[in-house]
Amino acid sequence: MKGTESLDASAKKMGRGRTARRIGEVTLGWFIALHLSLILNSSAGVFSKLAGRQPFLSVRWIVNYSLVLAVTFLFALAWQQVLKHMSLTFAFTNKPVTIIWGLVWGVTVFRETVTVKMILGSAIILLGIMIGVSGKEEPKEEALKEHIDV
Amino acid sequence: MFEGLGKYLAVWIVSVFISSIAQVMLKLEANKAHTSRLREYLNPCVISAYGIFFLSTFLTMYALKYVPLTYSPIIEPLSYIFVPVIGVLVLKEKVSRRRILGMGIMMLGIVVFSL
Repeated sequence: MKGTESLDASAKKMGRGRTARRIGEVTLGWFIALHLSLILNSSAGVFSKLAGRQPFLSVRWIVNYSLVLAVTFLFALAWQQVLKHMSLTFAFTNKPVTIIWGLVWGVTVFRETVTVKMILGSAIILLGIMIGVSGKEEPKEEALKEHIDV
Repeated sequence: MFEGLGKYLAVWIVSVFISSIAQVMLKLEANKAHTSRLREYLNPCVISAYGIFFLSTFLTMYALKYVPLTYSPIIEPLSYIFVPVIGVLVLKEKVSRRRILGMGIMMLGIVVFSL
């Protein structure tokens, strides 16, 4: 008993997924990484809208448009790493959360009005994501393979 | 008039469709082992995928010249159908019934959101 405990602890220390908490098919860490990258992805819309409000090629336009490009580039870097650790269908089941983030940015940054339908829709989207993402799935063969590769 | 609108809607849908193919290309490459981190990005498949994303922004812009932006909540979420379908066909990913149910509820939510 003691032996297995220390094994688990050392596996955790090494950051390997086998004993880490899992959300569906991924480790908690990669699940968080997926969601941080999706938040980053949704923020591109904010800078895009901020740029759109400025006169074309003004300093503020250039700053905001550069941020759109920077955020998109960072997302592209992150996305490729995230995809290494989960199936595309899993990643895309989570992606509609960007619609909800868009709503959050719209309200907090642009003071846009929110309708009851939007809130109800968001709640249903979240429910769908939670159902689609949950469920005990065995880590895939490729997921195990990548632990050996990396 | 409607025929014209239909044509530009089709361009938009093609744009969403080729972006979905590009997503699958990214995943195809992510499934491979690479000799270096740089190679994970600088390879023909990933570069072509981003080329397709770039092309699709132009197709969407072209379509938006004639199609009202209000169609956006109907057209853009098509990727949530296209990507898993192409993913299952090309990548042979296994999708549980539970996930299909979740995706269905999610689509319903998108419909309610954009009503």
